[in-house]
Amino acid sequence: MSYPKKNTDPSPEEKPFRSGEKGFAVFWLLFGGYFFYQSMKLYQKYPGLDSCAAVPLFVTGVIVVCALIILLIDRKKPSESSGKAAGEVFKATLHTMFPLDVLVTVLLILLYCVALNLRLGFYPSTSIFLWVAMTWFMRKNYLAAGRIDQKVLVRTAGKNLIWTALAIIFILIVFTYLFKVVLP
Amino acid sequence: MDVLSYLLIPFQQPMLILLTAVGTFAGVYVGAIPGLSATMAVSLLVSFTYGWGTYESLALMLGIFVGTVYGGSRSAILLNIPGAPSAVATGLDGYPMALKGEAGKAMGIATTQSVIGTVLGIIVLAVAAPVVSKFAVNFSSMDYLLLAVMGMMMVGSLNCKSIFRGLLSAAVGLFVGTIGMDSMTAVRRFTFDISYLNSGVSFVVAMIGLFGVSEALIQITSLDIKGVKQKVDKILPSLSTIKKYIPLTLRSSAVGVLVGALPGAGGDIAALLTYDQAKRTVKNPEVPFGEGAVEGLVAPESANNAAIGGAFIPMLTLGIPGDAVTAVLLGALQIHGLQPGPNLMTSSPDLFYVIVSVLLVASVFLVVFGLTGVKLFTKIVEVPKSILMPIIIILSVVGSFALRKSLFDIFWMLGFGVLGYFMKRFDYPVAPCVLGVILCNLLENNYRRGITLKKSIGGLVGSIFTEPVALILFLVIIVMVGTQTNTYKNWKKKREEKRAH
Repeated sequence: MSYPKKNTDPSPEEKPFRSGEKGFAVFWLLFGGYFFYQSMKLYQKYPGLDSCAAVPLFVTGVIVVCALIILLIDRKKPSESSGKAAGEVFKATLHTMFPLDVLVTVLLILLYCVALNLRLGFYPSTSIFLWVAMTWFMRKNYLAAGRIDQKVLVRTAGKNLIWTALAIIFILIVFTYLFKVVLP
Repeated sequence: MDVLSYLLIPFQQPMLILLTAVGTFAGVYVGAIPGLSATMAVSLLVSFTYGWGTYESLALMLGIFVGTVYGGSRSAILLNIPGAPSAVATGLDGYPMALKGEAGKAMGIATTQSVIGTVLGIIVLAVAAPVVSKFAVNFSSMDYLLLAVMGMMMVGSLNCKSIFRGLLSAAVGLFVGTIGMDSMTAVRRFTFDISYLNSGVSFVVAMIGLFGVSEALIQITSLDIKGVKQKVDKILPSLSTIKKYIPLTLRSSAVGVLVGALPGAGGDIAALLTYDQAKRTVKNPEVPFGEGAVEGLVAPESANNAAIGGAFIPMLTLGIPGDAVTAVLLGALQIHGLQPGPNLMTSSPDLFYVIVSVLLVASVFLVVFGLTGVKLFTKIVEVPKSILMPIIIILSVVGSFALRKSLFDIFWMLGFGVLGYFMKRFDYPVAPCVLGVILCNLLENNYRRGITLKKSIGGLVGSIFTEPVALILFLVIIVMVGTQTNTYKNWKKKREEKRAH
């Protein structure tokens, strides 16, 4: 039995730093710092090694320490945005964090959550989410040089309707009928 | 002779065989869907089978149990979304295998190891239940604490840019596990007066978000890259392959049974522990761990299924459930007028052996249903990502809602999904975070019980040297820590270079 060649991709330690990667450690420092402070307040209220605040205090302390160590270790390492102006770094970071497709997906997810919260119905909200997301992701099929190929768009939209319907039927059968889960 | 006649009961009633088959089949596919669990399925069946006979109810429920524990590995391998917490470790090497087009091989290995683990667990249940239950009952708070620490040690063996990123991720997971009403004092921690948070953050919600939605978002960044064509011509591993890994299978199954026998610790912890052990003890795997090592599938899959047999040991011999599913089964047996516990062997000896026999039949059906449908399942990976990823997001939504029927679970799950996406994007490992959430209760509760009993950290640490089991676990942890240091790694490298010359 032959095995595939050893992975020649760079190991995690060798991979260059993405734009915003060092800043993510700052996020963790702030996150850990804030909850360390909250844990301290709780510990002052309920002191003792066996109190309900002991473990949170310890783990948030670990988060702060680890974030500081990561910042110290990584501060001089080169990244994709080394040597660039602050504005460019910011843009590059946003692009790393939110490529267009991810940004659209996150927005769709937010709208989906709003729809569920407003009790617009699980099946209508889900169907719209699925169909819009699929059609957006497949835009390269019907969108070229800023022009929409209507025939391809209709074909793509039609196929996506079928996939949406199949997904909804699956959820209906498995969750609603078999497991009697009352969906939102 | 009586024992033999009890063991043969399922074979004398074809309906029991049929129900076991139906349960196993359903369990395999239920387990593959994130958010649907063995506990949920068995709980539903308790009411569904209320009017049935005891054996018939048990046959269906046990079949589902065995099927779902295995089923979780399918989505872990194909989509990097564990169908159950016990499949978290399986995805670490199963998914890389699928990325190389070896999903069929991965599922074949997962199936055979699950079956072997289940059978080994059942053998221990049948032969050594009283001995194992005595060991399990004597586990003290310190022992549980050290077991949880051992589970956390796995952080160091996961491939990430630095150990500190892994530690940070694990600490975040532990912190998330502390959110909610404290189980010992009912004090609300980090709830900010949000009533939803009083019951804490479900680790299944965190798992679905951190693995499922985050993976979908990551895949969305590379929509143009087509899914890898999967090789499914050879699913069943050869006998020589199975024989090659027998020592690892036996070791992992032994750990699985012992951990499964501990009340409150189940297949998820067994799988994580054995994966870590395999990574440390297997010398020169043909493929490195984390890149599709077969050993990375063998260890957790045999352990999490062996834990099934282990979980029944305290349930049947002492009336103490080994995990959530056996807790539900305990309730089911009580509904049928039976009382598992020390008197079970005298009052209802047939029940014990019928359970053993049904579990064995379920493992036979697991071979059949585990190996069939693989081709269909692997087709899922070949569906274009632009169609598959939105469906995965929606299944994650439904799966997280199904747990507690709470919209907030959906929002939290999606929040974890976005957090997990950023973590993956910036090379912070996500698995330690899930690990932390899973192990938090075990770690914190036993730490606090231990401190309360021993009155100080010094007393707690000192108790390691007065309790044999604690001492053994402590020494194992020392070895685990030592093997992660650069000094040891450099020494090992020099030793291997010397041997090569």
